[in-house]
Amino acid sequence: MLRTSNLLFTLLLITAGGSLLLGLYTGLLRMGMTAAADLHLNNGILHGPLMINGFLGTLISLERAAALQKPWTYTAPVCLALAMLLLLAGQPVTGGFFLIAGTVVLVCILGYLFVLQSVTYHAIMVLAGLSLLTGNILYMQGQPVYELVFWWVAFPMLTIFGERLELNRIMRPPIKAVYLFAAMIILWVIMVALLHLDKNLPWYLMSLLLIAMAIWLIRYDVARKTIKSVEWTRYSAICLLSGYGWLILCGIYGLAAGFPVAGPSYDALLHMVFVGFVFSMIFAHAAVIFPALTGIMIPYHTYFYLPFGLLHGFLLVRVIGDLAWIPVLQTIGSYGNVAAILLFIAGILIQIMRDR
Amino acid sequence: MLMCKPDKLMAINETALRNEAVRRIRGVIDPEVGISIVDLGLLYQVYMEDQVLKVHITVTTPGCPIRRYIEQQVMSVLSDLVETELHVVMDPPWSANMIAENIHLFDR
Repeated sequence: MLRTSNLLFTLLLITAGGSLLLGLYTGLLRMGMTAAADLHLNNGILHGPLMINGFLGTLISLERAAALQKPWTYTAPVCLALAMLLLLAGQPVTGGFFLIAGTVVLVCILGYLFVLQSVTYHAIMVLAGLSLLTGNILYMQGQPVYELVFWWVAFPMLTIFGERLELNRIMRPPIKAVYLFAAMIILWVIMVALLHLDKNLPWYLMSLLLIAMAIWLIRYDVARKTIKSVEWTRYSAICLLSGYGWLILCGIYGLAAGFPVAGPSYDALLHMVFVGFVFSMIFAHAAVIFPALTGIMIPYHTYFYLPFGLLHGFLLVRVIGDLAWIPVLQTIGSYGNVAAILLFIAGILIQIMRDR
Repeated sequence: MLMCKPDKLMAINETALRNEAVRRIRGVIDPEVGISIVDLGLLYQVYMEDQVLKVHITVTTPGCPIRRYIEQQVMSVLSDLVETELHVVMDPPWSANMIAENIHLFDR
């Protein structure tokens, strides 16, 4: 059984964590917060890459590498981590090289998983990796972020969809339902591609499909059952189901508002997905992934419902601010979301220290 | 006074060790569903060989993110029992049919 050194794990986790914190910081810069004079973070332009690649990309690729325990798989999180450091240091060419290299290796990892077990959920994860690669290539080509962001959305979303489909085997869903879910995902990705040609019909179909996929998950996800459980299992289920709820709201808003280019609509839609859905998933899985990567258990505490409530509450405030064009609500919501995430991290650290 | 032949004594001891190992592994819970990994069908084999306890487990998929967590938990519960070798195997691949029949999933 091959294992990488704990030092490499720790460094990669620190980089992922650092990317998260810097991602949150650059997010606040985009909301108008004044940057610290000695941090040259270019008014928050790295917010997207930091969150998608630096944080999520490094973490997800590290999870897969830890599961497979093949030395070559660690190239992905190492490259993605290096990419972020180089981009932050103002080295776009070298940083871009490592960004693409890391993403290519991640696609190879996911492809390897599909070769090991050629099943639907692995195919969905491969699509997730290819989506990230597409988004990153477009980013390095200098495409405006609104043109490529849904490729970035696809990465965590399809990764989560694949994982839920895998876990939901325990519920023995009908095979036709599984194929329906896979078909909706493939159609959704096709619509993301067609967005480059037409911002109308593909967008509306994407929004409809998003609602349908979320409803499928609410119907078939094991979270419907595990919500009756206790402690972390119950907490995870609540986070999952609320995340699916945000996907439905996102789809409905997408149908009502049309394709967003910039401004409040864009802000609302992206954060309904990335905060309402993706961060709900992160909260749901933290108690599992953290020990898996570090060996350190996080003792459960009802405290964790506080950051959960703040995350969703402040996201609602932010979205209301976006829809009603009330900048102060947008700002309060943004700061509130950052606070919720920081409180969640703080809770993890405190619980670990208390346990020791 | 009852006497057991030495090889029979050794067999009894090995059986007791295996049973105790399984009992302890039953306490390892899959955190995503809150069910014992034994009830989920993730424990494949437990046997003694050359005075080493060999444990074969699986995970639900080769890329399972909580593989290390489950490995750590199993080794943790067996650490003071006897020298143990843990192997994560993927053959046969896990399926929902391996879940114990008498388990009522998610009952309170």
